[in-house]
Amino acid sequence: METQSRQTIEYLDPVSPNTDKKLFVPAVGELKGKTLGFLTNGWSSYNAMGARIEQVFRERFGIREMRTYAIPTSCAPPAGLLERVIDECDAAVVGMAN
Amino acid sequence: MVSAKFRVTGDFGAAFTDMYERGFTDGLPVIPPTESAVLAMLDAAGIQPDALLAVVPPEGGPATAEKVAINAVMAGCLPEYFPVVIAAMRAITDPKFNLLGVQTTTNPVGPVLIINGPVRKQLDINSGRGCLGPGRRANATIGRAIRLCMLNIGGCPPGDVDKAIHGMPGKLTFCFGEAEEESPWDPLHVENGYAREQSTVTAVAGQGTQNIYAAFLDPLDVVTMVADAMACYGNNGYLRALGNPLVIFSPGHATLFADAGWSKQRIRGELFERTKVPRKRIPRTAQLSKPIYTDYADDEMCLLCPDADSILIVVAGGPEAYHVTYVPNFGTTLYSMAEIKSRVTQ
Repeated sequence: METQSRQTIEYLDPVSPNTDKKLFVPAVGELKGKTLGFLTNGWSSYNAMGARIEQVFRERFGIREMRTYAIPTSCAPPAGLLERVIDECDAAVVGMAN
Repeated sequence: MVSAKFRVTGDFGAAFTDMYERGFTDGLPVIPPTESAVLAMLDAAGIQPDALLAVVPPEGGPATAEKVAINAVMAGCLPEYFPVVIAAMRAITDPKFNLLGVQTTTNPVGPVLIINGPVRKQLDINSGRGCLGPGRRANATIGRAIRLCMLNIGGCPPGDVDKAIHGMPGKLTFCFGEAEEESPWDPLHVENGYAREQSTVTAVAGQGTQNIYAAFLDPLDVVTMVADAMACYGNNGYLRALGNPLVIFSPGHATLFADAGWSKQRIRGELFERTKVPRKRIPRTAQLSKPIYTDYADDEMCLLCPDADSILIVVAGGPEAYHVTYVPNFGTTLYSMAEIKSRVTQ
């Protein structure tokens, strides 16, 4: 025998978005004349794309320079590297899907 | 509690469909996390809902006790499991576990949870026959709770942020106990400095299971066969000679070794030596990445892990000395342990 249930079920949201604004930095804004950093973790796909990416950033956005920083494959950046990137660059791409 | 509330009119199936369509689930049915169920979970651990347990990558979502409890209810955990879930969250968010990499990699890796200590018996966590498979609520739901937290708190939906090319079934849940009472050796937590009376959860970043039918009577033959299965140089460990390969011996195999005077340390040493692969066995042609062994000389040895001590050995499963399970490792990760406390210190 089947019974119909039309109750109202109230449940709590399991999602916990990051709302800590302290983790965010201001947008870099205009890229013209800026130095852009790229962290690459050794995937040859980046080697193939990196030069093209730099060309696009130079031609379309007028960056002054793109600096590439190598980190070991599938590893976090070595100690001190991110600090170096902060010192040397105005903006940086620190994570890419391979 | 501060979490938003959703309302669904209908039965539990309608609630599941609602949660599935909002992207809250792993695809399997979930228990609706009602306020009373979540409060029961929190109460079981004696923890306040706003206690911050961890920050979960990649999103950096704050794992408050409330959010973790919500996900534990959804997974089907009983309230008394919650201290284990809390400890597991702490273990996987230890920086050395590299949860960011585990969450977002193309590799199929997921957390493998090994439970030690008295809590195994108290919660009916299977450490015996079929312990890696279906059948026990604690094994199934504790591992699943962690997966749901990784999804909902870490912000890592499969295919979108979780880039696993194939994934593996163990990403739904992978949790078992060590068969300490049937083992001739110190269990994993005692090897790591805990007292036998303490309970712990160990998180290992595992890629799945490789079964090895090694029904030899001589221990050396068993380790030779197990090492041959581990010496698959396509495993991530060989990329950088890093990680913690995990070998699960049945009580039968453990007894076979112990009766012949073999310690875990001797087994680790034999496995480590036998998993070295000469560079010349691996093609030298171009790869998409640059493994550490790329420029090695032909006879130079490629390593599965840094040293013998990095190999984890635990005893679990049915009693027969037939099958060994090898859990290959993600590589750029280290195992992490946390103590399970019945009343959680905040």
